[in-house]
Amino acid sequence: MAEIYGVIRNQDRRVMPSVNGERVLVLLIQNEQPYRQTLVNLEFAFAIFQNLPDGNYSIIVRHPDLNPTEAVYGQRLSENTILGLRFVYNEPQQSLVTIVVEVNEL
Amino acid sequence: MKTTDEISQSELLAGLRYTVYSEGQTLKREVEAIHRVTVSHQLAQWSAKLAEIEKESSRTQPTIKPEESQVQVDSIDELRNLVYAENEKLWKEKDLTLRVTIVDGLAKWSARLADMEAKEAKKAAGRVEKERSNSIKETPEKDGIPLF
Repeated sequence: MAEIYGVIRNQDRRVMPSVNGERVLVLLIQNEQPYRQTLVNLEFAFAIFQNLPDGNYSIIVRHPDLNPTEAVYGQRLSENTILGLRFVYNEPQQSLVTIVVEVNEL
Repeated sequence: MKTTDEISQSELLAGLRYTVYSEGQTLKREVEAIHRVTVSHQLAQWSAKLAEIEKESSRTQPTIKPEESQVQVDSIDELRNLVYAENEKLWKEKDLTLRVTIVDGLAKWSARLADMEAKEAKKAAGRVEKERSNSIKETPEKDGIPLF
């Protein structure tokens, strides 16, 4: 089973769980179908999806005040893979800077 | 589609484990002093929180306390290497009692590293300031008016 961790950070490497008082939402698409969604944790700004069967996944970070409103990263996951995604935003400009990807084996 | 507003305790533990691991990797790659301060501070804070949750969930205490550890570190580079090595060890360790011991040590070492990184960043900022003031003094002057 695979796992996906998504974390939201600002340009200073600090956690960014919310924008304008509204928490960031992370949506998981499995084989082109919406699968799960969760709000990021308030203290650590991460979302976690565990026990995922192998397949094609897209992780969408969604917030109405961020640019883009939906930041998407897609990857095929095989068994025992841990995919770590760090969505880095410029907080004053509320815009996506980069997505840092880390792949580990369980 | 399953929707969750709050993550469960087991998800929090798993997520925090990954966050600590990932922060350790970031710290290794980070070259800017100011960012090293932020990342090492967050690593210290989160590994302390992880140590707390690991102790609670496994109901065990560390077998060796960090203050009883025989490890000696004299320089910031040694401490950086130690924090990185302990972080890697923690990520791979499956035994719950050993995990508690490692994360307890990591929390203490990374807190010490955060302090040293802050001092190092202050020193670096001081060096830049000194160089800047020297370069201003060295600006050639004629009759007290700087020549550019």
